[in-house]
Amino acid sequence: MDETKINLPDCCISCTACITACPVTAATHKFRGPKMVGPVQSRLHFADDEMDSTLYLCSNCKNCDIACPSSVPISTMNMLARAKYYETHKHTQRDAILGHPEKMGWLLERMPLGAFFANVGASIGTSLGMVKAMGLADERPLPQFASETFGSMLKRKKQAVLDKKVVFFPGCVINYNEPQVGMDFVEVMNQNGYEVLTEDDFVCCGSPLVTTGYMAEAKRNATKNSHLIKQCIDKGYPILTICTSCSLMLVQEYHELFQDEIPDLEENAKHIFDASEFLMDIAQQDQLNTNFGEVNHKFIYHAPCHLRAQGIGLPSLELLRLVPGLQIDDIDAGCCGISGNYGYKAENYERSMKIGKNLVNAVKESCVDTVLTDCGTCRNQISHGAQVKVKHPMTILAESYKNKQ
Amino acid sequence: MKACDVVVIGGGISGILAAIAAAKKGKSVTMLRYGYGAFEIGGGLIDLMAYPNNKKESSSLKNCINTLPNDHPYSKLGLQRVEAAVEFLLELTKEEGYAYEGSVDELHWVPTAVGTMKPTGLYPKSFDAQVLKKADTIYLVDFKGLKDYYAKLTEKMLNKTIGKDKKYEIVTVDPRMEDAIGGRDIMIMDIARWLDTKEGQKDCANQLQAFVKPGAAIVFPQVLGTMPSYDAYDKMKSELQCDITEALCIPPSAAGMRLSRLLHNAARKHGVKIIEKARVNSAVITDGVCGAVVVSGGGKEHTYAAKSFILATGGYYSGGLEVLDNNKIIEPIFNLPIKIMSQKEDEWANVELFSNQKQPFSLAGVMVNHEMCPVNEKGEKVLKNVFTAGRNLCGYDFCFEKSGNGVALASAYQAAASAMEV
Amino acid sequence: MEKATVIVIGGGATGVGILRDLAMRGVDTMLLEMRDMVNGSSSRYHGLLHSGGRYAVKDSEAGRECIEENMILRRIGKHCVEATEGFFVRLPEDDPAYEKEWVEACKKINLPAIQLDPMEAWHLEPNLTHRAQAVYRVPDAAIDGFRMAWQNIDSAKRYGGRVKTYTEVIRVNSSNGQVTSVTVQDYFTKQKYDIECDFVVNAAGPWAGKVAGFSNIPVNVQPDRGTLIAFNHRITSRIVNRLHKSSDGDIFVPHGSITILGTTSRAVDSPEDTQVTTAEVEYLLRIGELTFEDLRGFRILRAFCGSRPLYTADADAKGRGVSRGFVILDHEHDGLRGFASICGGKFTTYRLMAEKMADLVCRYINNTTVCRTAEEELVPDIDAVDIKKARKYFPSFGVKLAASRLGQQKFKKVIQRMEAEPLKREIVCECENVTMAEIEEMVTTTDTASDYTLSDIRRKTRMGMGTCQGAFCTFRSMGMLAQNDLMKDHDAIAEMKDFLQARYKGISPVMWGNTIREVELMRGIYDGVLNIGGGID
Repeated sequence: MDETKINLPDCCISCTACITACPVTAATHKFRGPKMVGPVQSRLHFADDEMDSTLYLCSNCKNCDIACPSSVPISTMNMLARAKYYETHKHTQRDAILGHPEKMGWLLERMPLGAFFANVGASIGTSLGMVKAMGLADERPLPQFASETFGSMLKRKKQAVLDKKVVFFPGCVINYNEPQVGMDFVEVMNQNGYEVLTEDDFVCCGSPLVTTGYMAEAKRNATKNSHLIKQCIDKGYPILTICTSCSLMLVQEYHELFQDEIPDLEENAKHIFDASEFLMDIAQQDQLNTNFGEVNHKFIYHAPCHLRAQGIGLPSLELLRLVPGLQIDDIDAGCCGISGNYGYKAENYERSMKIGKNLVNAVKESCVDTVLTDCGTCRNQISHGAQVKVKHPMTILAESYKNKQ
Repeated sequence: MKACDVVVIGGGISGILAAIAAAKKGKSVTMLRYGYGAFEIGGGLIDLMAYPNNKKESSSLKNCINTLPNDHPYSKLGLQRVEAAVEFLLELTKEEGYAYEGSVDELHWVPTAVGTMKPTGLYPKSFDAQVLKKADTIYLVDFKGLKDYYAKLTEKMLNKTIGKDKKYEIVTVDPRMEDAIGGRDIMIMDIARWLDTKEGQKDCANQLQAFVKPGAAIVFPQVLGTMPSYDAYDKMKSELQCDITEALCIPPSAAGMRLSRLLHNAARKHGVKIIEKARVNSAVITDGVCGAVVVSGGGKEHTYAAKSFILATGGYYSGGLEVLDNNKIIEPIFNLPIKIMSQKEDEWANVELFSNQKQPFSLAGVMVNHEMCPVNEKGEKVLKNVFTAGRNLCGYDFCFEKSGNGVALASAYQAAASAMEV
Repeated sequence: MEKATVIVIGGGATGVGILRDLAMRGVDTMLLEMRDMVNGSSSRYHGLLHSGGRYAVKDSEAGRECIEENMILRRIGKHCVEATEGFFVRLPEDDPAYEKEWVEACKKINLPAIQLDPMEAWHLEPNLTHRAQAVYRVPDAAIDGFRMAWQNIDSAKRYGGRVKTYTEVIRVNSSNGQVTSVTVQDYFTKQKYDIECDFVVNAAGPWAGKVAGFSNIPVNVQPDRGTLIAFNHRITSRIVNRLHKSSDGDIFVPHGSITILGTTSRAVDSPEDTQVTTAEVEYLLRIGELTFEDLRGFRILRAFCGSRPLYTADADAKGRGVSRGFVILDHEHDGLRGFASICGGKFTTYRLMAEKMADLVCRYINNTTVCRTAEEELVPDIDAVDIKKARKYFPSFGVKLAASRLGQQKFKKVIQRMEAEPLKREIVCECENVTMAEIEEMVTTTDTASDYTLSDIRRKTRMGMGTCQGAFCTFRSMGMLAQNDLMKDHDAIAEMKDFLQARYKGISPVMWGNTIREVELMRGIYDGVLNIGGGID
């Protein structure tokens, strides 16, 4: 199985493993399934210009890739097919909004009280039915914009200048919606002797662009980010991120989508880490600050699909297990169903809730009040579906370090 | 570097069983898996042995183990150790609430979608061809729109297999999946998922009750749920008051999913650390001892160190054995010596696909000693702390013999035992 | 007794061409094929519709014929010809002097060979080796042998032409040196019977010698075997020829989702010797990988071979030296009036061959109608309305493929079936998008034979010819046939075994890489799970 020939549907032997693992296939009878829409379509597409009519149902959750024994990048094939579809079809305004969270955030940052009015506006828009009319699901709350971006918060904080440095790739969710989580990450890194730098020119990793079919734009972002990342690496700084969709995009999907078109992707990936992965690595070398304070609480951990697809295990869970007093279990109950912006589309809402039903029920049965997970949209889905508190593991780790002091 | 006790490479049936066996004995186990094994192909049964030499004479494992060639994994293990492995599995399934039955003593026959009988060893009680033999009337359940099972075909061929003196009737159940027609098409998985739910079970039973008379036998395609539980089976049995058997079908297999879930739950319960999408590329070996394996994941490499390693990477299907285009076979992680067992020098495949002789390409694989430790042609151990189990072993043809999961189970159990001794 | 004015023996390219030509001239013609349509040479070659480039230097007459017929076939057969164009590529291993010679020769036969900058060639065909030193574009095209045959038959049927498959001619009967009838045997029922006729055309390809032999007439056809490899991927969108003296392994032809590499040349005793060896495959790969360096990385779907019917008046000449031109033998000269054989030739010139034979036959039966096979299209275009309808029922990437293999009439019927019964929209062969409706249509309208096999369905629909080589559709099709009472008395187990064995025959010489994984899957399902190879308790 030659993994360098990554766009070949050749490796597919039609074993049906992907179909069994696909949560969308389990939730709806309309979806033709990863095998048909991915490798089969890829093989036969030369004969017809139209894309399969059920292609829109793929949520890019990566469960098919995880199940495939043949290294077929099925979900990437689906996304490439989707991109092709949009070469001859127009995007809706809804797609434009969901595909460009960064644009929204950037704009609001520059308007006085921008975030406040956006949040209020979203609320009013929902109750007036405008949100629904635009094609967005109004059953779930839209993500709230924070009044201050992470970038701004970081600038205000006076970090000590430390010898060891990392560059942080925050991603749109951390930057515009949950900047405090980013600050928790900074706290954790500081506690381990690392100064956190950031690169103002980083742009959105491109994940929402890919899933909404803005491939050319995603490529531009990838080119820009890769260039900046390389510069950081050349200075000797590793790149860390705490959003699992960003890390998947940077270390894996960039290569799957744009290999041969953007330089240095493979080399860069060697220096890009999920923050917990990085911390577990240094733990292996006995360099982790294990001075954790007690956190006497019982949590559930939910592993985002995009993390499971990276082949690095569940490093946040392992870190959390080092915290004294903390009880935590991996709920292992499947995909939450939101898969990035998929669940925000009106026509996908019910399906996304159906996909995540298993997880929501398991959370409710467990009787915990807080679920920890590294993915921003998973957090939204779980809090909406199970009505529990949701936090990023970094928040707990930061809390633990602070408790010691 | 922190090492765990055992690293299991491969998360198919051999890998996961080895991991559970070691974890149950208190060892710290990490399982590195790429893909989910062949559960959805297999059918969820544990075939121990049926055709040791030719396709006409069937035999239970107990009765023929002494006649097997020396290279056969069962010969290396010996009956006692196979029995211990069987005991282990039966215990495990019982603990997980989905008890399997069977033994090495006798063959158990189950019906298939093409009306043949397939011999197996350990099985969930919902698979039983005996119920067909006992019955006078046999109902065959068909599901409207299910394109992976056709009761008429089953009926036509069953007539030949178990006799014309039975009364056969086909009953069609409507699973209410009109939205699938012309879309995805209805698969076994869809029906099985429908029967996971109380509503689905009730609906199905109601529909059948209109036609089925108590005291008969009913053949279902293997759709009685995707979970390791007899709920759907028990429900059907009690509502319809008939003997029930499932029939084996083409993939994806719901019964295979049940076994997969059962083992996955058990692995987690016993603390096995599972790393998904982990491709093991190479091993770090010093003086015949493997210190760690190197995994590519997240765009970079990670090493996993352990005291001992179990190689359960499967055969050609899973990539545990690769055939390069000059017909050279390699085991890609440790580069273990491979034995090719052909009658003639360049013979790689028999002329007939369903030959009356075992296929040479299937017999090829890694050589091991009785501890499941890989050896070379001279029988010398190649590595001191690496053990191997499952499809990558040489000396058996799992399709011909019907011995796949049995060898997987027995060799995994032994490999775990050996790994724990290190 | 059944009767036809003319009997044509052989359902290959030549035979169907003759059937169509005669039918269009108003002659009551029946074609008899001993197995299923296109079972012989015409389905077992690379499918290249020659531009003539390969013959320009060595046989300019043949080259000229090719380019003329190529242009005709593109026009009349646009639904079975993929106008892919071709490249001639000179590699460092090839003699540069030949290039000059070739360019001149192409000019002479009016073959437009346009030189192309290798950089541009690589842009158009990214898999092509960067060692290419010169590249020319020619109007090569790819032709689907099966479709071409059925479309000729469809056309012939419109004019009253008739076909019987699985009907083997076992004797040519005569009285006073004039042909009177043929005796045939039905392959399935084993029934023998006679068909009255005035003229018999022997278009049996590599079996032509056997057929002529029924009447003790010597026709020396030397079966010459060519081996080909089918790759599971569209490695190139264009035909790629090596720019050198024609030899083995120097053609790549894309056909839909696959690519064929061929071929070889070896004299064999029987045209039924169709088992390829691994050595032959290795031989082709070593040549082919000079043109496409990553060739070994692509999965080989299967290897197959067919016999060229090389005719020679001299019984001892064999191999590539023998002419590829065709010859018509009027056996009146051998003492039997009303019997003629047509031998040799190549697929590209089938229409011309048919025209010449039809001219001979018509002279005999005093028919003066002029040949129009070059003027009229084989089949009408598919209605855009039907394509639109089909998009509701088929996955989109399967629509045009199904339309082109079914032809306008059958496509309409299949859509009607799918409209009437939604369950018939289910896909039996997922790799090639073959629906239940299509299979049902094929099986119920087999008016040409008394029965059918799964392989017949495969040839007509492409079922089992894709990625999984029958691993799933073998069962599904059998089940679907049983479900719809189309199974007749077939022994399902035996039939599935035969079908898979036929698939395996082409796979066993290439059992490595992803191909052997597919076989494991096949065995795992049918032997391991369903136990169709095993005994019964």
